[in-house]
Amino acid sequence: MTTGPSSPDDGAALREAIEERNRLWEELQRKNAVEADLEYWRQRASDIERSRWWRAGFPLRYVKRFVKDPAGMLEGRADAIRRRRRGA
Amino acid sequence: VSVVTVAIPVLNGARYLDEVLTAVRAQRVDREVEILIVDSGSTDGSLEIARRHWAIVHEIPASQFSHGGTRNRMMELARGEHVAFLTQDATPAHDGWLAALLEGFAQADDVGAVFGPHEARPDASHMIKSEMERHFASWGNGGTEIDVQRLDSSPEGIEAYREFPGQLTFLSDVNCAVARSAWEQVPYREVPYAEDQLLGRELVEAGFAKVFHPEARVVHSHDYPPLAFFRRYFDEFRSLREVLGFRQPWGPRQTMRDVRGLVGADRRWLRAQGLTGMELVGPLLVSGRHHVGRMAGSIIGTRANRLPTALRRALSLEGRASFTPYEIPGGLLERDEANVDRNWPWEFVRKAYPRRPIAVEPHGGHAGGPLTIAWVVPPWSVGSGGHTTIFRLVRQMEQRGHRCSIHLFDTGNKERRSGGELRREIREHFVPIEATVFRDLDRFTGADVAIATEWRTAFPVRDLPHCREKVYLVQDDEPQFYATSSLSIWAEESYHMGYRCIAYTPWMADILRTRWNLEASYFECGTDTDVYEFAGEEGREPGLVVVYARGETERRAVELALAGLATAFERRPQIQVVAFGSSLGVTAPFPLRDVGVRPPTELAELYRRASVGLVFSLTTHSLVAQEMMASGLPVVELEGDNVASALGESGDLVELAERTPDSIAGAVERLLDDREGAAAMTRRARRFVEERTWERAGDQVEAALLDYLARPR
Repeated sequence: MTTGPSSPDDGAALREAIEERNRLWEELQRKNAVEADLEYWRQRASDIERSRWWRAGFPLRYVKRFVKDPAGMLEGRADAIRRRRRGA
Repeated sequence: VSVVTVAIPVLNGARYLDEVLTAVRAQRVDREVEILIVDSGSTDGSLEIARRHWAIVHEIPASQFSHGGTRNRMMELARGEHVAFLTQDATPAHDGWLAALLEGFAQADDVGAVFGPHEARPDASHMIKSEMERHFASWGNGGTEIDVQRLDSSPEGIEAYREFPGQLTFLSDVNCAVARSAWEQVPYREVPYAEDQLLGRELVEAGFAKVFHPEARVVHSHDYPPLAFFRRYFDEFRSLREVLGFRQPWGPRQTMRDVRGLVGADRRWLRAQGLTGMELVGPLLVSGRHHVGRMAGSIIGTRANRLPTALRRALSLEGRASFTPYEIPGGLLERDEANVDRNWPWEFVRKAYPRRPIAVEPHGGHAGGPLTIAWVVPPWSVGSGGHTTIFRLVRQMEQRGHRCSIHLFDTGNKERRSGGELRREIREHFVPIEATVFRDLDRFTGADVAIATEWRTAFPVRDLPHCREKVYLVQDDEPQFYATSSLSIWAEESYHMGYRCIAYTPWMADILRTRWNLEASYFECGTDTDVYEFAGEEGREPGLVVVYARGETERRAVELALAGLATAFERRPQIQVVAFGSSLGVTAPFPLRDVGVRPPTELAELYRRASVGLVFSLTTHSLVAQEMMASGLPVVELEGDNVASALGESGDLVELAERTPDSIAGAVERLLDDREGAAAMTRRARRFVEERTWERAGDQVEAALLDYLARPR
């Protein structure tokens, strides 16, 4: 059985409601797609950080960071120790 | 009056036995308590203590003692339906200990064993006290609540169990109770050590529940000098390897981290006892030494199989030289995982059974207004004709005001790109769609219509929630892709699901209606006449034949096309053949130039230069043929209902060949010889193609969707 609007006004209102519903649906799809992509890239980054090659390169990156900004590195380390102490 | 038995194996246990039996006799329970002692040769007065407490005493020679065997004997001797086991140095912490164990059995009908926590004796070291607290806090919300444990038999549950069995299997007969009914099915095993762990494992794997009761506490601990601790841990962990297959992970960083973690836990425990500052130094040094010994004992113990027998005996506190892995036949921990594929690509089919109806939301048949449409597609490669058609239809729907989403269904989990990257590829290499693209179906939220576009996608689409209608876009008679096989059965299964179909060509719709009894309308593919512009005879190279040679898809009958061209070449050695469409390469028994997969603009240019085009498809009508027709290239196709139905009553639009090499060669020769006739045919073909626009295809698909929605199931 096909049901439909009983007057032209009803028809316009229905169409408007459907348009709005569809717009919200599309917005939801976009939001979900962004969230899915975010999750995907987070997973990719985590996979890279857990890879053997990334871990093998840790000393090199550490030295590079230290050479570039020794004061910042030491400050960051001190912060980390302070945070850990507070946490403990 | 029902009976509960408290069973204690004894050998020279006088130090604590009186205290233990006094605490047992003080228990307040609503049934008779039977105390059962099996002594294996005590000489320190243990027997007299036991008799003083009215215990039933059985004496056995020391040679007959084994942890598992003796406890089985005690189960046989006991009168109780539930038998609580203690060791000779484990004292019930209060008079409700036995009642708590019995309360554990009341938690469910299938409880096979109940266990409770151990409290360290007051003179135990801080490491032992801290460790025991941590250990028993693993159950019952930090060790405070009754915890009923069962094996989750789902694949995920089994995987979690295999990952960390100890959480489920732990059972210590220092302080536990066993139901006779469970023991009759799963008795203790005759193993040298860790018989309780093995019993716990077997009970859980046999489907029994195991209960932790925080009030079933006993006071029990061991303290040893450092070296003896190391040897004790060697024994314990060797047994865990034998019984559970556990291996202590190790490595310089890992082990350092583990020791640091254990010392850190001791530090927190000591702080909780009020120690601060320098007071912590001494105890933590002792902790460090203890945990280094513990880690060494556990690492070496779980690898005891690699040690010589004499060394094993020397390292063992109990002087045991053996290493005997205990395998439970059919046990969940012994299964050989070498060939297990956790991403087995056909799980989606298996889970689709038993057959069930298509999931759709009931609705009143309203089909007005723009729709929301979810397209579920299989993975693609650039240039895929089937996907080009799907994405063109998506675009057509969007241009009519409908909102679309595209969901990849990748059974092999091979697609490594994000939804955003996939969308970019569709827009750059196929059609500039507006739809959002998802790399899976995880975030599917519903739509007016969900469309399956290939037989694999029909399986998940059937069960997708919150859709008013489910439609199957059938471009090919896909079961015909496969020899008789699982895949042909499953492709046919997609026709048993009760989809409403939109088929490419009236021929395919007819098959769906007559052979599979499905509701089917059809659409006819359009052609990009802007890209594939018409060219007449001028500029065509005489004798240049192009052939669609995508051998990757068997339905393209590439070998047959090449056989026909080989015969043609034998008859006319001056013809030149250009093959395209394959990324795997093409070989033939005659000179041939393979240009591989080319973009549409280059193909259009090739079609305008060539004199004859060959393109076969055995399961539908080829879009490539229509593109050749649009370019004014005379086409040879194989005779068949699929071609006849697609080309309709429009007269001679292509040169048809029978399915033999000489017939194909003959068709090529006719077109090469009769250029006037060929040119007339191409003009008719162009007119035919011009009528079949993508707008028309879009209209056909939209009309079908609205029709299906107007007639709810």
